[in-house]
This record gives sequence, C-alpha cells and structure tokens, in this order.
Amino acid sequence: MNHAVKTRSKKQHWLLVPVILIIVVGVVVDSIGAGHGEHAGVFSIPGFWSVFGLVGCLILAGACKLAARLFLKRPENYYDDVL
Amino acid sequence: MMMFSEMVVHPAALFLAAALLLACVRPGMLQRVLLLGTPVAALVAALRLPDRFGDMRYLGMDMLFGRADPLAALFLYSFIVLAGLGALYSLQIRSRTQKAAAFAYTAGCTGVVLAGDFLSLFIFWELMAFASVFLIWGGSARSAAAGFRYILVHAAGALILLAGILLRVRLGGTLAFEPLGTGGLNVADILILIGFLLNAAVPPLHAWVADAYPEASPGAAIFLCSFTTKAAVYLLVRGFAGLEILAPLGAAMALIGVGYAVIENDARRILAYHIISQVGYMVCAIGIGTDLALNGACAHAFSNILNKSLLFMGIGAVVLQTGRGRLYELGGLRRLMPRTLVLTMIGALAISGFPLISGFVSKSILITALEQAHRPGLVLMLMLASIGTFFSVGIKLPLFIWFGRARSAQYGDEVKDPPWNMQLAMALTAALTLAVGMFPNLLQSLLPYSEVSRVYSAAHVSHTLQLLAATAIGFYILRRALVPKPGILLDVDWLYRRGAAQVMRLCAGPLNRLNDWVGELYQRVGVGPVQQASGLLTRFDRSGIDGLIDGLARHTLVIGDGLRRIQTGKIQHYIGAAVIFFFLLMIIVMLY
Repeated sequence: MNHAVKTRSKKQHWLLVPVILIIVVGVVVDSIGAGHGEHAGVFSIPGFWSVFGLVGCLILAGACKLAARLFLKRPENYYDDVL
Repeated sequence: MMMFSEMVVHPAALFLAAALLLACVRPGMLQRVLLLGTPVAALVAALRLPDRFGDMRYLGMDMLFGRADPLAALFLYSFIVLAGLGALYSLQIRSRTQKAAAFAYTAGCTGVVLAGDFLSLFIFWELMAFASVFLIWGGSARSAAAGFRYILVHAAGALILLAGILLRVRLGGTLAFEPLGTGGLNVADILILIGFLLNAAVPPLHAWVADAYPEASPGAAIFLCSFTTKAAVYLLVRGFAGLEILAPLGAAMALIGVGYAVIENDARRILAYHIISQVGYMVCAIGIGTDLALNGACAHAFSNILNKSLLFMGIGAVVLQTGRGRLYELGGLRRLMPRTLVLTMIGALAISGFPLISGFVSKSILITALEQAHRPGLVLMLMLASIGTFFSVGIKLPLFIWFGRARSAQYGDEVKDPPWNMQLAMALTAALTLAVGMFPNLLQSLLPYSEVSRVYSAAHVSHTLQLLAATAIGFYILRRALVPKPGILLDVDWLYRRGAAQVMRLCAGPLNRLNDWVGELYQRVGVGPVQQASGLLTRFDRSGIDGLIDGLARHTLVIGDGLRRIQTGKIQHYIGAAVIFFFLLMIIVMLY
C-alpha cells in the first residue's frame, strides 16, 4: 500500500520536469527579446505569463472551490422532487 | 411559393426534405444514404449559392431567404460539415424521431444563417427551438423534464425576439436584417438583442445550456453543442458588432462558464459550461467590433464548433460505453478506450489553445485584436479563462476519466472503444482541427473581414506555453483538493426549478396565514363593533329619539350596512384601500 503510493507520487513528480522546462525555455525566449513587439507593456516582461498562470490558477480554483462549499454545492437528488 | 433560379437550392430545403424522409424510413441502407448523403449534397449546394437569392413578397412584406455573403458562408459551411460529422457519429441511434429532429434542427440553423430579413429569420429560429427539444427528449431519464424547461426558456426568448421585430416595424424600421442600433439602441433593438443573447447563453440567460444539453443522447449533443449558440454568435456579429456592453459581458461570461467547469463533476456538464465560456470569448470580441476582432470571433466560432463537438463525441463515447457520466464514477479507462483518449485529448488541447491545434489560431487572432484595441483588462480576463479551460478540460477531465483507477465498481467486459463510425467521425473532426491549427491560412482565407494578423509568433507561442505549463503546476499543487465528489451545483435555473416552488410555498404558507389573520381580525374588530354600535344606536333610537328624529335609525342601518360591505375580508382590497388612502394623504400634503 505504502509502496504503491510512493511510486504514484514519483510518477507525478517526473511529469513536472517537462512542464518546468517549458517555463524555463519560455522565460529565456522572452528575455532575449523575441517576446517583444506583440504584447504591450507589462505583458512582455519575461516570465509574466508564467507567474500569471500560476497565481491565476490558484486564485481561480480556490475561489470556485470556496463558492461551491459556501453556497453552490447541493446533494445529487436536490431537484428530484420538482420538474 | 419560393421561386429559385435554376440550380440554386437552399441547404435548409435539402435538410428539411431529408428530415421528412428520415421520419418515415426504417433503419437500413436508405437511412444511411440519407444521413450521410444529405450533408454532402447540402455542402455542394452551399458552395454554389449566389450572394443573394430567394427574394419573395409575402403578406406585403419583403423576405429574403438567401444572403450568402462571406460572413454567412463561413458559418454555413461549418454547420453543414458538422451536421455530416454528427450524422456519421450517430448512425447507430435507432430513434427515427432523433434523426429527423437532427436534420430539421440543421435546416433551421442554415436557414437562420442565410436569412436576410427578420421574418424568415424568426421562422427558422422557431424551427431550431422546436427541433432541438426533440433531440433533448431522446436522452436520459431526466431529459423529459430538462426538455420542457429548455423549450419554456426558448419560447420566452422567441417571444421577446418577436416582440422586438414587431416593434421595430411599428417604429418605422424595415424587416431587412441589417446592423442594428447604429444610432443608439431603441426598445425594439434591445428586445431583439435579448432574444439573441438568450440563444448565445449570455449570463444570466445561460442556465439552459448546462441544464439541457448533458441530458441529451451523445449523438444529439453534438448537434446541440454546435448550433444554437454559434448561430446566435453569427446573429450578434451581423446585428450588434461594436456594441460596447458586449465586451465586458463576454469576458465575464468566459469566466463564469469556466468557473463552473472547474468545480463541476459531471463530464458533460463540464463541456456544457465550456460552451458558455468559449462563446464568451466571441461575445467579447463582437463588443470590440474592429475588423480583426470580428474575424477573431468568427474564427473562434469555427474552431470551437470543431473542437467542442470533438470533445462531446469523445465524452459521449465514454458515457455510451460505460453508462457513467460523473467523474467520481469514472477513471482508469486508458487501457480500455485508448483511441477515444487520444482523439478527445486533441479536442481538449485545441480548446485550451495549444499551439498547432485550431484553438490556438482563433484565440491568437482574438487576443491580438483585444490588444490592438488597448483593452488589457479584457485580455487578462480571457487569459484567466484560458487557465480555467486547460485546468478543467485539458487536465481534470482526462485525468479523472482515463487515468488512475476506477473510482466505483469495475467496468464490464463490453467497455471498449466505440464502433467504427464513431471513431471515424472523431478522427475526421480531429484531422480538421489539426489542419486548421497547422495551416492557419486555411481558416484565414475563409474569414469575412479583411484584417488578419500573424498567428504564429515566438512571443505568442512562448506566452501560451508558459500559461499552460504554469496552470499544470497549479493543478499539481491543488491535486488533493480536486478529487471529484458527488453533488450538483446551483445555477440560475434554480430560479425556475426551486425558486418558483418557493414562491408557491410562500403563497400557500405565510401569505395564506396572513389572509386568514386579516379575515379573523375583520370578524373581531370589524363586524363585532359595527354590530354592537348599530345595536346601541337601535336601542338609543327606540328608547329616546325614535319619535324625535325619525330618519336617524334608517340612516344608521344604511351606514352600518355600508361599513359591512366595505370590509370584504380580502387582503387585496385592504392593500388597495391603503394605497388609495396613501395617495389621498399625499395629495392633501401637497395641497397645503
């Protein structure tokens, strides 16, 4: 049981390597100036979209989870007795 | 009758004729020929259409059944292609009603796109609404009730649209469908806009999508997910391009849709919320209204028709093969349905805007248009929606369906990739999606407006990949909190499902009791004292004054009777009396 959990988490960690590699390459591409010209101002700061992606993801998912817990989530049979 | 010049055939006529035949023929060779042949014939007919055809006068009004300019043509082609793919996917469906309804729905959709006047638009609009509800009714056990709610919402929307059209004529406008509200919106324009927005599922008129579409059968869902909302997008581009309010509304819509998709549990409801979210991108671009933005909206509609139907095909296959649709019941299908996984993933990456697939091309045009219009706030909102899209469809959906272990009972032996025709339909859709992504000029040459942008730049590719990679890390951090659990989510449909019942309960409970109480009060405070007073007066009258003032007794009786009549015991009358009293008081106060 313990062993199974360990191998699974190992697998998941391995999957992070290409993901982080993409970010590193992306930031390098931004920094050497290839990223300029298309986006304006703050959007062309190297790594801006990586930071926005991570922070945005955490905030979006967190806010939605919270909304579900506070007032959106109901049991599956909630509407069963009405049309 | 309509007079067509030779060789011009309205695609809707072909689909309607096929629908009538499909309602009669039994499953077999003829039915297959009809199902697969009609879209091919319709596409040939569509490619041969002149710019303008089908003028007619009816009841003193000019109608134009055919306006095949580049804007209409783009939507027309994609709807017909999709009808063909949907028909190929649903060859196994046994119900004749379903097949006939699917093609009648297609006929309505092509009719709406080609309509050059509001009257023919409205006729095809109604055909769409009523044909589509038959598609919904052929689905799950809950589809009957969902279909009724769907048709009620759409009947209301159609009435609002009709009111707008009639008012427009009354205010001196013509029936010709030209851009509306160019000199400011009047009431007629606003009613027409509301009708369009309801079909585009713009919040708060959006709940019908996630309520009805997931209950339809998998084949029907492919037609549903592509037609009504995208036809409404076409109408908005045609009628309300550049209407400022649409820009923030669309961005909010993209976020609301994706927000629900992030926490939703049912695979097909996730996809339904993504219809709302993706149409939000288009509505936002329509609000910006520049040539590039409108091209972006059209391109996004085109690519979304492909990748959303691909997703519905893949998830539909899972639902069909396993009989399960909720994420907490699924998992571990990668060895049983590997081809479905690969094909669905192409759709999922496409809708997430992954480079080399169609969604990247259309999103790139759309976002560039927003940047050129100097709307960084809207860009950030749509990028946030992109994060949610990849999060829910790109990672969550495949992870909890195909990976891990089955979270409920094991699957039976019959669970495997779907029949050949479904796989072929998915493969063809995926091929189109990839073709658009790899050769963006294919799509750009079809776009109706002149302005185009460079799709593949180092910056766009780098920024998109960073965004998607960062989202994957965010998902990894949150993974333990995201394991799906049973439950449903409240949406605006609560208002007409539970809310209406609450109003009924309020009427039956507290309001009824208040009515009884007022009635009781009237009996005790009203009738009693009046009777006592009249009794006293009678005695006084008899004992002392009867002879002196002869008429007084009679007058008292008359007053007492009058008072009794005024006090009816009905709460509406007392409220009415209070209102009249209040206005009298106001008049007196104002006079002094």
